[in-house]
Amino acid sequence: MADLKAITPFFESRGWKPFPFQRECWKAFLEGKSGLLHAPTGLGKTLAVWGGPVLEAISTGDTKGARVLWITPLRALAQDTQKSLNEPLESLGLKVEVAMRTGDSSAYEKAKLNKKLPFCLITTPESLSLFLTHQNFRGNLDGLTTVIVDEWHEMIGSKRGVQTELALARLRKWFPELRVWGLSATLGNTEEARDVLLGGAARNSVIVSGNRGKKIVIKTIMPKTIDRFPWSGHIGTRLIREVIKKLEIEGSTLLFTNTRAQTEIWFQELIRHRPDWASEIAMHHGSLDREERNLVEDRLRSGTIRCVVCTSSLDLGVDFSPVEQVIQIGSPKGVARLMQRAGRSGHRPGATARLLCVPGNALELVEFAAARDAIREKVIESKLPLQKPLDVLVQHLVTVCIGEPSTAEELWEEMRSTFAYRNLEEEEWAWALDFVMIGGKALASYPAYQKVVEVDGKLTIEDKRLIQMHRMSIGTIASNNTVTICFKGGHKLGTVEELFISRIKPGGAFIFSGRLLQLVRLHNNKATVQVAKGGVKGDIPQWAGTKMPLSSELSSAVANRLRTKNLDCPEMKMVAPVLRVQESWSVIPDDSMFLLEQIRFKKEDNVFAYTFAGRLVNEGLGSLVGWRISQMRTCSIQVSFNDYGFGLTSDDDLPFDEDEWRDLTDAKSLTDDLIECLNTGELTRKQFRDIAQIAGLVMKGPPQKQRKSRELQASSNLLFEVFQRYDPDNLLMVQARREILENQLELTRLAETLKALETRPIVMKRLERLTPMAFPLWADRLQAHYHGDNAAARLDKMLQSLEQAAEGVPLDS
Amino acid sequence: MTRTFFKETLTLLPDRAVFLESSRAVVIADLHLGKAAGFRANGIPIPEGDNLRDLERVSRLVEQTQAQQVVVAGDLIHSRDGLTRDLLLLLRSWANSLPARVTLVTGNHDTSALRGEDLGFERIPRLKIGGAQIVHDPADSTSAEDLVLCGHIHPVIHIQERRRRAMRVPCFWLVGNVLTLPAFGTFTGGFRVSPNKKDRVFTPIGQRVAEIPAQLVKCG
Repeated sequence: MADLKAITPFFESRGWKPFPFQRECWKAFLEGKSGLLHAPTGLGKTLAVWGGPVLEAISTGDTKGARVLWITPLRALAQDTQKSLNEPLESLGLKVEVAMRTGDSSAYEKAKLNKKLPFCLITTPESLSLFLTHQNFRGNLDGLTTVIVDEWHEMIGSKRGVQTELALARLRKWFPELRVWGLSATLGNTEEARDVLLGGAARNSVIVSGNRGKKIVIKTIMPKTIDRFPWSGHIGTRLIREVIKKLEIEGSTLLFTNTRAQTEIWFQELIRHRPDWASEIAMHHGSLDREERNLVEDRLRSGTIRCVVCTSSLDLGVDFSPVEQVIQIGSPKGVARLMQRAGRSGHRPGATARLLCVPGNALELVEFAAARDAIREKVIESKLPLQKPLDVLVQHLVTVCIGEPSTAEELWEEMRSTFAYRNLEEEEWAWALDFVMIGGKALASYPAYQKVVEVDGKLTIEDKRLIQMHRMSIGTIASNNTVTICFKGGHKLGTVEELFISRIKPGGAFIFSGRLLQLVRLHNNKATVQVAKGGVKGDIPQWAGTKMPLSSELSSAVANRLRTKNLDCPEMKMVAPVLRVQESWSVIPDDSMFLLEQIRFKKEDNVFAYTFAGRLVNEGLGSLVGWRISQMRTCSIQVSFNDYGFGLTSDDDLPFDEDEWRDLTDAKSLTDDLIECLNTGELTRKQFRDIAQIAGLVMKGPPQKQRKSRELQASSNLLFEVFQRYDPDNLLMVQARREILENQLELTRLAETLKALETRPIVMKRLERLTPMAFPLWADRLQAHYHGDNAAARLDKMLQSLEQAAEGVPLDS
Repeated sequence: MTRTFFKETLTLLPDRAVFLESSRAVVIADLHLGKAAGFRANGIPIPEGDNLRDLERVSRLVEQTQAQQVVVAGDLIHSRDGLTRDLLLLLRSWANSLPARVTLVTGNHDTSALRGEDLGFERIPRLKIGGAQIVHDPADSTSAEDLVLCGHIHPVIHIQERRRRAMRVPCFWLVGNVLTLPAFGTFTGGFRVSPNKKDRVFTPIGQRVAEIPAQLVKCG
């Protein structure tokens, strides 16, 4: 075995010493083991997994050809990774090449890498899948010993994770001795994370912990008074003066917000209050152009910036050592996320990670206090892996059939060797084969369909055009229709959603990337803009994307805080008056009771129910209860929800009786009822959009002007309707319904919640005024969705009321 | 209910069609038949079913109105790839069995899809029928006084209801003397239009077609 000491010259050149966990990783690697390394962000994780292949190369002297594939979820990380992988090579005198291949690579680089691979290739899951469609890839990989998957915790719960699992299965089939190493933040389910990554090869593997017991201190910036403090609503910038004071320090601050729109708002406000800081504050979010983001990251690295306002786009990877403090705007909604963000600061050995929280409403004060409790108790969220998504399977099937024709039996074995598809049923497999070969059972009688064909017993694709179309649509991140924003000269600023920009007329203004911009013209998915002159007001784009639900771990910590009424910290002291109002008008809910509040208000009946189950469960539960009510009596009900509960609103009287509510929240026939009520809802339709794209029903790729590509455009909405009518049992439709249940509504958590509610005593309160807990739900009904009637009935009702208003004069002339 | 637009008496039918009283003709637009087949020919598996159903809807309209003529205001066929043997046979036998004459005013999709094919019924670039003119693309209308019926746009409007999320519905859209029909085909998308104050829009509600007052239409 190679000598671990061979790597010490590099450590000595830096004045470092290897950490025990690094040596542990190197040793396991050299023994031929795979594994998972989990540790907070910080120095050392990269070296821990890179050291093994480096040591092996030094000891064997064999450096010709491809040895390592480094998979990263973010293109943006590739460059930094390349840099840090190269660092030890120089001081060790190891002459091997580290190159990268992402969607951003130039056509020349891509072509070069399709011919010959370097010692280590850094790439993304999408680019790896793309490689798998090239017939010479296997030959070019000859000698591959190692795959390293970075930021595995980011991928494990997503379809990109499944895509990675599938690609790994293929690589393992080609190279049975392959060692696979994952890098992950600490999760509640680390062992499972390892098993998912390694699939059937999880035996003889290790889990290494790199936790070095860094201390985390969480403090909250307090509002002066709670009276002027909103109970709900979007997060304001009321505390901006206090935040600015905190920015007057040496060193850089990261200011995390939860959405891109908030990032724009905070950036604007900071500059407005401190115009003298205009050149010292920058912003960073996922819709900004890569170039812009690179500039910001470089300035963070060199420590030449006061503050970066950012979203989760800076949660991942990249180590910015000079970050002095981290500020979190609004609740992070999860313990792990808060720890991750706090870990961005205090990178010097022995330093403490400091996080300052800025509450957006009263309840967030409780969430901060609760998060601190959870960190102390080491209660961290798990990331649950996805189970057999068929859209990813059919996409990957096509991918591998293009790259290397195989028999159906070989493919079945390969797919079943992954964690995601280990329980794939034979019928599901038969369906997937049918789907790619004849377009599915429903299409069996239409011979015109062509994609995967069988040649000499092996499945392959021969049509060059179909191969090209498939390559363009590889990937599992469904793209929204986005428009590129650029200046007249061509300088790109980033992307916004088409829906937003199409509402702005030429000459109209909007705020993006911290600038007030004026739209010049919108053409071919490109919005040309110029900097707006003073005196114009602009909108801030809203990007699609669901809000994160409060995690079970954090929500139970919150309930605990509310139940014990423990005022041992400033946050709880501050929020006490609000809680007293809640208590005197109703009671303070927690997870030991099931509080229902009812109020008739502005000619509408409202019922609010508090479950503490997170916004996704409350959305599902609210829909379910709303639907069950509308089954019993014909009335139209709006459902609103947040992390703590859901609200129902109707023009008619809503049930408010203990027995009735027990029935309404009965867990019996839960799944059936949910599916039934979802069929009338918009959710499945929304979910089908992503699935249709991944499964290749909706063509992605650059907009083409050719008639051909226009003729193949159909909105996923339309496809959904066609499938629902003519092929409702198509497994992609079944999957859409399942995904909605599991991912969007957290069916498992929902079922657990109903079970828990059964055991909690129901407390019923008729209100005279909206309570602090009810108010946010009431205010949110603006975005509510509907149950119990259809569009025609709604329209009819509207027209009738207009007709009445016009005193019987029929509008229908 | 009959309406009179520019001296032409007609009925807007809830199944996205117009019935012209004087010429006893049913006018429809944008069927895009064979769209699913066109997708399939390109490796995108979409189930079939709409062709027959859509043609049956036309037959039903003829029966209900006792029409003597059916005018398709363009885009009967979606694409060349989608015009399969089966679809051609289906179309011919449907037109033969229909107790009304079928006329196709050629649309942009038809031009390439139907090159060299015989449908067994009349195809013309524009049609003068009674006091009305029928074209596919509203830009091709040549009349400023007479009523023009056309398709091509697949108009839909968003209707704003108090606090609720806007409702998206197909509509008949009257701009000046030009009435654009909603797309008839089941497998067709829609294009959101923002009518001007002088425009009028009508939308199917259950078994009738109602005019939507401007205050309900959400402009974007």
